[in-house]
Amino acid sequence: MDPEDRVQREEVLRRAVLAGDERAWQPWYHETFDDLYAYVLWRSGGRRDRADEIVQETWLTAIRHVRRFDPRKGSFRDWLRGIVANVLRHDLRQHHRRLKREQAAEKCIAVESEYKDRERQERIAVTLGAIPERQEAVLRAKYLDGLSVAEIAAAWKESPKSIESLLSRARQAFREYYDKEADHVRTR
Amino acid sequence: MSGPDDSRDELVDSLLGADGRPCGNGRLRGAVFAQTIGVIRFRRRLKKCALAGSLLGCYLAGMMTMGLWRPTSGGRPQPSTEHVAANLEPSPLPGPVGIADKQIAAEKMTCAEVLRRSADRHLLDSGDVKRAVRNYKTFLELSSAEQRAISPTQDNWLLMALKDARSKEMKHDRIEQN
Repeated sequence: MDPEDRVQREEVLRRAVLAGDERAWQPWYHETFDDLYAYVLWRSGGRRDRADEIVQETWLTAIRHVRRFDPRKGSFRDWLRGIVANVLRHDLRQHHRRLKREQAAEKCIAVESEYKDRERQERIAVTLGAIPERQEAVLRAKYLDGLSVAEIAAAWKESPKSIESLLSRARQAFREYYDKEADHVRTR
Repeated sequence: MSGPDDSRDELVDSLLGADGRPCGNGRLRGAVFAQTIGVIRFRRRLKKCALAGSLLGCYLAGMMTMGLWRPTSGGRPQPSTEHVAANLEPSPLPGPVGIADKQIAAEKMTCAEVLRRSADRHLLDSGDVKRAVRNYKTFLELSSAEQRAISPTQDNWLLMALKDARSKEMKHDRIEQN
Protein backbone atom coordinates (compact mmCIF):
# COMPACT_ATOMS: atom_id res chain seq x y z
CA MET A 1 0.00 0.00 0.00
CA ASP A 2 1.15 3.50 -0.80
CA PRO A 3 2.52 5.19 2.39
CA GLU A 4 0.13 8.13 2.04
CA ASP A 5 -2.84 5.80 1.62
CA ARG A 6 -1.68 3.84 4.63
CA VAL A 7 -1.47 7.00 6.79
CA GLN A 8 -4.88 8.16 5.62
CA ARG A 9 -6.53 4.79 6.20
CA GLU A 10 -5.01 4.32 9.64
CA GLU A 11 -5.96 7.86 10.67
CA VAL A 12 -9.57 7.22 9.65
CA LEU A 13 -9.59 3.91 11.54
CA ARG A 14 -8.04 5.49 14.61
CA ARG A 15 -10.66 8.25 14.70
CA ALA A 16 -13.47 5.76 14.19
CA VAL A 17 -12.20 3.58 17.03
CA LEU A 18 -11.87 6.60 19.31
CA ALA A 19 -15.46 7.50 18.46
CA GLY A 20 -16.46 4.00 19.59
CA ASP A 21 -16.98 2.35 16.19
CA GLU A 22 -16.58 -1.41 16.63
CA ARG A 23 -16.81 -2.06 12.87
CA ALA A 24 -13.62 -0.07 12.33
CA TRP A 25 -11.75 -1.99 14.98
CA GLN A 26 -12.73 -5.45 13.71
CA PRO A 27 -10.78 -5.52 10.41
CA TRP A 28 -7.87 -3.63 11.92
CA TYR A 29 -7.57 -6.16 14.72
CA HIS A 30 -7.97 -9.29 12.60
CA GLU A 31 -5.58 -8.26 9.85
CA THR A 32 -2.83 -7.50 12.42
CA PHE A 33 -3.39 -10.30 14.90
CA ASP A 34 -1.47 -13.16 13.25
CA ASP A 35 1.51 -11.01 12.40
CA LEU A 36 1.71 -9.70 15.95
CA TYR A 37 1.31 -13.16 17.44
CA ALA A 38 4.13 -14.54 15.28
CA TYR A 39 6.37 -11.69 16.36
CA VAL A 40 5.58 -12.16 20.04
CA LEU A 41 6.12 -15.91 19.80
CA TRP A 42 9.49 -15.36 18.13
CA ARG A 43 10.51 -12.81 20.75
CA SER A 44 9.42 -15.16 23.52
CA GLY A 45 11.74 -17.89 22.22
CA GLY A 46 8.79 -20.01 21.08
CA ARG A 47 6.99 -20.20 24.42
CA ARG A 48 3.31 -20.20 23.57
CA ASP A 49 1.98 -19.75 27.11
CA ARG A 50 4.08 -16.65 27.54
CA ALA A 51 3.29 -15.38 24.04
CA ASP A 52 -0.45 -15.62 24.79
CA GLU A 53 -0.06 -13.44 27.87
CA ILE A 54 2.10 -10.89 26.07
CA VAL A 55 -0.29 -10.68 23.11
CA GLN A 56 -3.26 -10.12 25.41
CA GLU A 57 -1.44 -7.44 27.37
CA THR A 58 -0.29 -5.76 24.17
CA TRP A 59 -3.77 -5.54 22.62
CA LEU A 60 -5.31 -4.19 25.80
CA THR A 61 -2.59 -1.55 26.08
CA ALA A 62 -3.08 -0.66 22.41
CA ILE A 63 -6.84 -0.16 22.65
CA ARG A 64 -6.52 1.88 25.82
CA HIS A 65 -3.88 4.16 24.35
CA VAL A 66 -4.92 4.21 20.69
CA ARG A 67 -5.23 8.01 20.97
CA ARG A 68 -1.41 8.17 21.19
CA PHE A 69 -0.93 6.28 17.95
CA ASP A 70 0.21 8.65 15.19
CA PRO A 71 0.07 7.04 11.71
CA ARG A 72 2.51 9.65 10.34
CA LYS A 73 5.24 8.37 12.67
CA GLY A 74 4.87 4.74 11.65
CA SER A 75 2.45 1.96 10.86
CA PHE A 76 0.03 0.43 13.33
CA ARG A 77 1.99 -2.83 13.12
CA ASP A 78 5.22 -1.08 14.15
CA TRP A 79 3.45 0.76 16.94
CA LEU A 80 2.14 -2.56 18.27
CA ARG A 81 5.62 -4.05 18.10
CA GLY A 82 6.89 -1.13 20.17
CA ILE A 83 4.29 -1.96 22.80
CA VAL A 84 5.35 -5.63 22.64
CA ALA A 85 8.96 -4.65 23.34
CA ASN A 86 7.90 -2.68 26.42
CA VAL A 87 5.60 -5.41 27.68
CA LEU A 88 8.33 -8.02 27.16
CA ARG A 89 10.90 -5.94 29.02
CA HIS A 90 8.54 -5.55 31.95
CA ASP A 91 7.58 -9.21 31.82
CA LEU A 92 11.20 -10.40 31.74
CA ARG A 93 12.01 -8.44 34.86
CA GLN A 94 9.08 -9.99 36.68
CA HIS A 95 9.89 -13.41 35.27
CA HIS A 96 13.45 -13.33 36.61
CA ARG A 97 12.20 -12.57 40.09
CA ARG A 98 9.61 -15.31 39.89
CA LEU A 99 12.15 -17.80 38.55
CA LYS A 100 14.49 -17.23 41.48
CA ARG A 101 11.69 -18.01 43.90
CA GLU A 102 10.54 -21.11 42.06
CA GLN A 103 14.01 -22.44 41.17
CA ALA A 104 14.44 -24.85 44.03
CA ALA A 105 11.03 -26.41 43.72
CA GLU A 106 11.28 -26.61 39.96
CA LYS A 107 14.56 -28.53 40.12
CA CYS A 108 12.85 -31.28 42.08
CA ILE A 109 9.71 -31.52 39.98
CA ALA A 110 10.60 -30.71 36.37
CA VAL A 111 11.88 -33.32 34.02
CA GLU A 112 15.44 -32.57 32.85
CA SER A 113 14.64 -32.15 29.13
CA GLU A 114 11.61 -29.97 29.82
CA TYR A 115 13.69 -27.78 32.06
CA LYS A 116 16.38 -27.40 29.41
CA ASP A 117 13.81 -26.50 26.76
CA ARG A 118 12.35 -23.84 28.95
CA GLU A 119 15.78 -22.51 29.83
CA ARG A 120 16.73 -22.27 26.14
CA GLN A 121 13.51 -20.38 25.33
CA GLU A 122 14.15 -18.10 28.23
CA ARG A 123 17.68 -17.35 27.01
CA ILE A 124 16.48 -16.56 23.49
CA ALA A 125 13.84 -14.16 24.81
CA VAL A 126 16.31 -12.41 27.08
CA THR A 127 18.94 -12.18 24.34
CA LEU A 128 16.50 -10.69 21.81
CA GLY A 129 15.54 -8.08 24.38
CA ALA A 130 19.16 -7.26 25.14
CA ILE A 131 20.67 -6.74 21.68
CA PRO A 132 20.41 -3.30 19.98
CA GLU A 133 17.10 -2.51 18.31
CA ARG A 134 18.51 -2.33 14.77
CA GLN A 135 20.16 -5.73 15.14
CA GLU A 136 16.95 -7.21 16.51
CA ALA A 137 15.11 -5.72 13.52
CA VAL A 138 17.45 -7.33 10.98
CA LEU A 139 17.25 -10.70 12.72
CA ARG A 140 13.46 -10.37 12.75
CA ALA A 141 13.38 -9.55 9.03
CA LYS A 142 15.64 -12.53 8.29
CA TYR A 143 14.23 -15.19 10.59
CA LEU A 144 10.67 -14.18 11.37
CA ASP A 145 9.60 -12.49 8.13
CA GLY A 146 11.81 -14.87 6.11
CA LEU A 147 13.20 -12.12 3.87
CA SER A 148 16.42 -12.54 1.89
CA VAL A 149 19.31 -10.07 2.25
CA ALA A 150 18.36 -8.46 -1.08
CA GLU A 151 14.75 -8.05 0.03
CA ILE A 152 15.73 -6.50 3.35
CA ALA A 153 18.10 -4.13 1.52
CA ALA A 154 15.32 -3.08 -0.85
CA ALA A 155 12.83 -2.58 1.98
CA TRP A 156 15.26 -0.58 4.09
CA LYS A 157 16.67 1.30 1.09
CA GLU A 158 20.22 0.19 1.87
CA SER A 159 22.86 -1.81 -0.01
CA PRO A 160 22.86 -5.63 0.29
CA LYS A 161 26.45 -5.43 1.49
CA SER A 162 25.61 -3.21 4.45
CA ILE A 163 22.68 -5.49 5.34
CA GLU A 164 24.98 -8.51 5.13
CA SER A 165 27.41 -6.81 7.47
CA LEU A 166 24.64 -5.77 9.87
CA LEU A 167 23.26 -9.30 9.87
CA SER A 168 26.70 -10.70 10.65
CA ARG A 169 27.13 -8.28 13.57
CA ALA A 170 23.64 -9.07 14.79
CA ARG A 171 24.33 -12.81 14.78
CA GLN A 172 27.57 -12.26 16.65
CA ALA A 173 25.86 -10.05 19.23
CA PHE A 174 23.12 -12.64 19.61
CA ARG A 175 25.67 -15.42 20.22
CA GLU A 176 27.57 -13.34 22.76
CA TYR A 177 24.46 -12.36 24.74
CA TYR A 178 23.13 -15.91 24.47
CA ASP A 179 26.34 -17.41 25.90
CA LYS A 180 26.50 -14.73 28.57
CA GLU A 181 22.93 -15.52 29.55
CA ALA A 182 23.86 -19.24 29.71
CA ASP A 183 26.64 -18.46 32.19
CA HIS A 184 24.24 -16.31 34.14
CA VAL A 185 21.70 -19.16 34.31
CA ARG A 186 24.40 -21.64 35.40
CA THR A 187 25.55 -19.38 38.23
CA ARG A 188 21.96 -18.78 39.46
CA MET B 1 34.53 -25.30 3.18
CA SER B 2 32.84 -24.47 6.43
CA GLY B 3 34.59 -22.63 9.27
CA PRO B 4 33.73 -22.42 12.98
CA ASP B 5 31.74 -19.24 12.36
CA ASP B 6 29.46 -21.05 9.92
CA SER B 7 28.60 -23.65 12.49
CA ARG B 8 27.97 -20.89 15.00
CA ASP B 9 25.65 -19.22 12.42
CA GLU B 10 23.83 -22.51 12.08
CA LEU B 11 23.25 -22.42 15.81
CA VAL B 12 21.74 -18.94 15.52
CA ASP B 13 19.67 -20.13 12.55
CA SER B 14 18.36 -23.08 14.50
CA LEU B 15 17.57 -20.95 17.54
CA LEU B 16 15.89 -18.11 15.71
CA GLY B 17 14.41 -19.84 12.69
CA ALA B 18 10.64 -19.70 12.83
CA ASP B 19 8.77 -22.83 11.74
CA GLY B 20 6.55 -21.17 9.22
CA ARG B 21 4.29 -18.40 10.48
CA PRO B 22 2.42 -19.71 13.47
CA CYS B 23 -1.12 -18.44 13.79
CA GLY B 24 -2.45 -17.41 17.14
CA ASN B 25 -5.09 -19.85 18.33
CA GLY B 26 -8.69 -18.97 17.63
CA ARG B 27 -9.78 -18.95 21.25
CA LEU B 28 -7.12 -16.43 22.22
CA ARG B 29 -7.98 -14.28 19.20
CA GLY B 30 -11.68 -14.31 20.12
CA ALA B 31 -11.08 -13.70 23.82
CA VAL B 32 -8.73 -10.78 23.26
CA PHE B 33 -11.06 -9.31 20.64
CA ALA B 34 -13.97 -9.44 23.08
CA GLN B 35 -11.87 -7.65 25.69
CA THR B 36 -10.84 -4.90 23.29
CA ILE B 37 -14.42 -4.47 22.09
CA GLY B 38 -15.44 -4.12 25.74
CA VAL B 39 -13.03 -1.20 26.09
CA ILE B 40 -14.44 0.44 22.93
CA ARG B 41 -18.03 0.01 24.16
CA PHE B 42 -17.14 1.45 27.56
CA ARG B 43 -15.55 4.45 25.84
CA ARG B 44 -18.67 4.96 23.70
CA ARG B 45 -20.95 4.78 26.74
CA LEU B 46 -18.74 7.26 28.57
CA LYS B 47 -19.00 9.70 25.66
CA LYS B 48 -22.79 9.38 25.59
CA CYS B 49 -22.96 9.99 29.34
CA ALA B 50 -20.75 13.06 29.00
CA LEU B 51 -22.99 14.41 26.24
CA ALA B 52 -26.15 13.75 28.25
CA GLY B 53 -24.54 15.38 31.28
CA SER B 54 -23.61 18.50 29.38
CA LEU B 55 -27.14 18.76 27.91
CA LEU B 56 -28.64 18.38 31.37
CA GLY B 57 -26.24 21.04 32.66
CA CYS B 58 -27.35 23.43 29.92
CA TYR B 59 -31.01 22.74 30.71
CA LEU B 60 -30.52 23.35 34.43
CA ALA B 61 -28.54 26.52 33.76
CA GLY B 62 -31.42 27.75 31.57
CA MET B 63 -33.95 26.93 34.29
CA MET B 64 -31.88 28.80 36.86
CA THR B 65 -31.54 31.83 34.60
CA MET B 66 -35.32 31.90 34.07
CA GLY B 67 -35.90 31.61 37.80
CA LEU B 68 -33.61 34.55 38.52
CA TRP B 69 -35.00 36.69 35.73
CA ARG B 70 -38.76 36.23 36.29
CA PRO B 71 -39.26 38.18 39.58
CA THR B 72 -37.71 41.35 38.17
CA SER B 73 -39.83 41.33 35.02
CA GLY B 74 -43.21 40.38 36.47
CA GLY B 75 -45.59 42.32 38.73
CA ARG B 76 -45.77 45.96 39.66
CA PRO B 77 -43.13 47.20 42.11
CA GLN B 78 -44.54 47.98 45.52
CA PRO B 79 -43.74 51.44 46.79
CA SER B 80 -41.31 51.25 49.64
CA THR B 81 -41.04 53.59 52.58
CA GLU B 82 -37.51 54.54 51.49
CA HIS B 83 -38.84 55.56 48.11
CA VAL B 84 -41.48 57.76 49.71
CA ALA B 85 -39.00 59.27 52.10
CA ALA B 86 -36.69 60.16 49.24
CA ASN B 87 -39.49 61.98 47.51
CA LEU B 88 -40.56 63.90 50.58
CA GLU B 89 -37.93 66.53 49.97
CA PRO B 90 -39.50 69.66 48.46
CA SER B 91 -39.15 70.06 44.72
CA PRO B 92 -38.25 73.50 43.37
CA LEU B 93 -41.07 73.73 40.81
CA PRO B 94 -44.39 72.05 40.44
CA GLY B 95 -44.18 69.23 37.93
CA PRO B 96 -45.99 69.00 34.60
CA VAL B 97 -49.61 68.10 34.62
CA GLY B 98 -50.85 65.23 32.42
CA ILE B 99 -53.80 64.97 29.99
CA ALA B 100 -56.02 63.65 32.74
CA ASP B 101 -55.21 66.74 34.79
CA LYS B 102 -56.29 69.00 31.91
CA GLN B 103 -59.64 67.26 31.73
CA ILE B 104 -60.20 67.77 35.44
CA ALA B 105 -59.24 71.40 35.13
CA ALA B 106 -61.86 71.74 32.50
CA GLU B 107 -64.46 70.94 35.14
CA LYS B 108 -63.61 74.30 36.77
CA MET B 109 -62.21 72.94 39.99
CA THR B 110 -59.73 74.75 42.16
CA CYS B 111 -56.11 74.25 41.16
CA ALA B 112 -55.30 72.53 44.44
CA GLU B 113 -58.19 70.12 43.96
CA VAL B 114 -57.07 69.31 40.45
CA LEU B 115 -53.55 68.52 41.66
CA ARG B 116 -54.77 66.33 44.45
CA ARG B 117 -57.05 64.29 42.19
CA SER B 118 -54.28 63.97 39.67
CA ALA B 119 -51.93 62.72 42.37
CA ASP B 120 -54.57 60.24 43.55
CA ARG B 121 -54.85 58.86 40.02
CA HIS B 122 -51.10 58.57 39.63
CA LEU B 123 -50.86 56.66 42.87
CA LEU B 124 -53.90 54.43 42.67
CA ASP B 125 -54.27 53.79 38.93
CA SER B 126 -50.75 53.67 37.57
CA GLY B 127 -48.77 53.15 40.79
CA ASP B 128 -46.46 56.04 39.89
CA VAL B 129 -45.43 57.16 43.36
CA LYS B 130 -42.92 59.71 42.11
CA ARG B 131 -45.48 61.72 40.15
CA ALA B 132 -48.03 61.36 42.91
CA VAL B 133 -45.56 62.78 45.47
CA ARG B 134 -44.74 65.68 43.13
CA ASN B 135 -48.43 66.59 42.66
CA TYR B 136 -49.26 66.15 46.36
CA LYS B 137 -46.43 68.50 47.27
CA THR B 138 -47.69 71.16 44.89
CA PHE B 139 -51.21 70.60 46.24
CA LEU B 140 -49.97 71.16 49.81
CA GLU B 141 -48.25 74.39 48.77
CA LEU B 142 -51.44 75.76 47.20
CA SER B 143 -53.92 74.35 49.70
CA SER B 144 -55.55 76.05 52.69
CA ALA B 145 -54.82 75.15 56.32
CA GLU B 146 -58.04 73.16 56.42
CA GLN B 147 -57.03 71.14 53.40
CA ARG B 148 -53.56 70.51 54.93
CA ALA B 149 -55.06 68.89 58.05
CA ILE B 150 -54.74 65.13 58.16
CA SER B 151 -58.00 63.31 57.52
CA PRO B 152 -57.73 59.54 57.97
CA THR B 153 -61.04 58.91 56.23
CA GLN B 154 -60.28 60.95 53.08
CA ASP B 155 -56.47 60.87 52.75
CA ASN B 156 -54.41 57.94 51.57
CA TRP B 157 -51.22 56.72 53.29
CA LEU B 158 -48.94 58.82 51.07
CA LEU B 159 -50.86 62.05 51.45
CA MET B 160 -51.06 61.55 55.21
CA ALA B 161 -47.31 61.03 55.39
CA LEU B 162 -46.68 64.13 53.30
CA LYS B 163 -49.08 66.22 55.34
CA ASP B 164 -47.41 65.07 58.55
CA ALA B 165 -43.99 65.92 57.17
CA ARG B 166 -45.24 69.31 55.99
CA SER B 167 -46.73 70.20 59.41
CA LYS B 168 -43.51 69.21 61.17
CA GLU B 169 -41.53 71.30 58.73
CA MET B 170 -43.73 74.33 59.34
CA LYS B 171 -43.49 73.87 63.10
CA HIS B 172 -39.74 73.71 62.86
CA ASP B 173 -39.66 76.89 60.75
CA ARG B 174 -41.79 78.72 63.30
CA ILE B 175 -39.50 77.75 66.15
CA GLU B 176 -36.50 78.92 64.20
CA GLN B 177 -38.14 82.28 63.46
CA ASN B 178 -38.94 82.83 67.16
